[in-house]
Amino acid sequence: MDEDWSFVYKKQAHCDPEEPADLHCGDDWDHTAVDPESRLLLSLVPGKRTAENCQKLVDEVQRRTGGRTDILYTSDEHAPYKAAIEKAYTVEVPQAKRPGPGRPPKPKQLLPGDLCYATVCKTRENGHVVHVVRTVVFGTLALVTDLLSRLQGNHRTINTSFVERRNGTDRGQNARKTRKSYRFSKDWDIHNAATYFVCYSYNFCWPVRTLRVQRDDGSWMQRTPAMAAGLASHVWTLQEWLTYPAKPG
Amino acid sequence: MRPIEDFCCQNIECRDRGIRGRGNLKFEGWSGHKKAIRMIRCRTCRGRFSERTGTALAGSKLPLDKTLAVLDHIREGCGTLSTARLVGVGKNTVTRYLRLAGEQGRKLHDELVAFSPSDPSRADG
Repeated sequence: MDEDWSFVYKKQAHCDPEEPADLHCGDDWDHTAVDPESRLLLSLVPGKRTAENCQKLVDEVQRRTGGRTDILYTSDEHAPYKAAIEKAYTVEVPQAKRPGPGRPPKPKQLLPGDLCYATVCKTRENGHVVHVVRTVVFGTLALVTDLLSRLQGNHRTINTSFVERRNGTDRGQNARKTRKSYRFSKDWDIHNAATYFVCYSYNFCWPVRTLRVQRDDGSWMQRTPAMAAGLASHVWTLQEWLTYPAKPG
Repeated sequence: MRPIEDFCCQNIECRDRGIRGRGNLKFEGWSGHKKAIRMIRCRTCRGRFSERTGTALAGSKLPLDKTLAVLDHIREGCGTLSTARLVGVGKNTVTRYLRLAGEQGRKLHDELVAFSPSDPSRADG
C-alpha cells in the first residue's frame, strides 16, 4: 500500500481552511493497494491523506480478497494503516464463562494469526537511499518469510517498490500528475475521474514488460496485470475497455 | 463486435438487471446516424436499449474513432488542451468524456477485479 501525491487547483499550503471553496482544492492522495506478484491494482481511494481513506483502502482490499487472512501487507510508515488493518481484521473471540457469580467476560479482540503487516522506512542522503529499516508489525518474521517465499518472481524482501513503480507508471500516463507542469487539475471531480480511468484501464490494457512470458518458439507474449492475475485472457484494447458495459446502478 | 453474453439488462426495474449471460437479451434493430449501433431487447422486462448504454460512449454524438482518440490521448499522458487540439474537439468535450470514462472505469473495476490473484481456491478451479 502506498499513497501517490498530486494536487488540484493549488498546493495545500495556499489553501485557506476557513474558506469553503478551498475544501476541494489542494493535495489529493491516491491511496493504492497493489498485488506485487501480478502488479494488479487491487484498490484505489483518491482523497485527502486521512485515516478514513486508509481505512477505506484496507476495507476494500479485504473485500476484494474475499476476507482471506494469509496476506502480507507492506507499506511505508504511514501511521493510520496499522489501526486500519487492526480494525478491518480483528475478530471477537467469545470467552468461556467462569464458574460462580459475576458477569460473563467480554469477548477478546484478536487478529488472525496468519495476517502479516510490515513497514519499510527508507533513509535518504542527497536523494539516494542509504539505509532501509524493515519492521514486522503484525505476524512473525518466519511467517513473513514464508509468505514471501510463496510469491513468484523476485519478491524475497519486504519492500514497497512495486507499488511505487506503479505510481511512476501512473504519473507518466496521467498528465494531471506530471510534476512541475501547468497541466495540473483545476476541478476535483474531473481529477478523480481521470485517476479512475487511467488507473483502472491500466489493469486490463497496459502490458507490463516484466510480466511477459516466453513462448515455445522464443517470441515474447506481453501480459497485463489482469492477465497475470487470471482475470483476462488477452491484452484489452482501449476500445474493448470502453465498450464493455458496466452494470446499472 | 461484442457477443450478446457480454451485455446485461440496463433497465433498473428489470429483475435480470446487471446479470450477464442470462440468455434474456437479443440484438434487435439498429440506431445511430449510420445505423451502426446495435439495439438490444430484454425478454424479461421487454425493454430496449442501445449496446452503448452503460459505457462512456452512451449518447455520444462524435464518431467512435474520434471518441476513442480523445480517451487514448488522455491515457497516453496528453493534457486536456493538447488532446483537444490534436483530435480536433473542444476542451469541454474532452473533460465530458473523461468524466464518463472515469465513472465507467470505477464500475468495471468493482465488477471485474473481485478476487485476490493468489487465491488458492481460484487457482485450483
